[in-house]
Amino acid sequence: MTFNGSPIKEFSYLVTARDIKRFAQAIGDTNPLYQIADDDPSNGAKRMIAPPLFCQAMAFQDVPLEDLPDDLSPAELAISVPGLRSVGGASHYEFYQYVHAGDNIRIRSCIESVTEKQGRTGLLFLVSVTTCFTNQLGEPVAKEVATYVKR
Amino acid sequence: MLSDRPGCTADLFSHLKVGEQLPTLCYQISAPQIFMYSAITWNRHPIHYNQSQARREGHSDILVQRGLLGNLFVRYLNSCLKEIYIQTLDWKVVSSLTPDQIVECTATVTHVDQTGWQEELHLSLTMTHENRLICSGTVEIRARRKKDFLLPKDWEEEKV
Repeated sequence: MTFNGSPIKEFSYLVTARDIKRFAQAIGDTNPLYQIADDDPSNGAKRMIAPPLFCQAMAFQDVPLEDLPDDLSPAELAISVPGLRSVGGASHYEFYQYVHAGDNIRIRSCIESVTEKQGRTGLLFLVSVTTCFTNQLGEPVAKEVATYVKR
Repeated sequence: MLSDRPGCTADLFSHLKVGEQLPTLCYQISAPQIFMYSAITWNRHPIHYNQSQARREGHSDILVQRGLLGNLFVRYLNSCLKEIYIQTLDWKVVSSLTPDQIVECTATVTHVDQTGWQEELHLSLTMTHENRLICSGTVEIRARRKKDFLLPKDWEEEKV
């Protein structure tokens, strides 16, 4: 199955120090770089950087439940293949610069390919989704190619 | 959660040789952490919080997210190597991980480049639970620079 590379989602995310702190707590990372301050510019929050994979916190779009596939997997997996259930399979990340508190990140995703494969328990569909993250200057911040398995 | 074990030996790439293994560190992901990670990423897939649904889909319990496993690799790398900048990171989930299972992370040096102006280190990564492979991956790392912390040029003008 081929796709024309047109975006399946495109939106912006304003990064806050609070988001970064919460993400660091969720991943169990106690590095003080991710714990300092809040969004008060006077106490250093402007320079707060995010963990490399903070991009994951920005990648899922804020769509209502009814816009998700039946299994409530990410909205980009609402594609017409026979698979009813989805799991994350693999990720490839390229990091070009740190995300900072205060950055306004543009997120753009497109489906690269859907590949049919015979698995042990039946037919699988490997859905490859590319997501590009750029900052308020249009500079690339990171890129992810994620592969989901639909079965 | 278990804390990272001390004993990191590799502070500089120059000490490392191809084939050398980095220290093994252990981690444990709790159910509340899986919930927090789903919440902060706005991932509403029930196999990460609904045990009954996870079992209906053939899993023994709720599952640790692929993204959270990637973050364990990042934590592992930052525990073993100081002042690094991760340039690329790949990982593939080979089998499922459920809450409270202890995993062991380790890495093997596959490439060290000190010939150019920029030191680079490439590693292969593995994460296992009781000798069962959970995740494998690769990473490309360079030394962190002061420039990496600079803000985008017009940050002040954004007024955010």
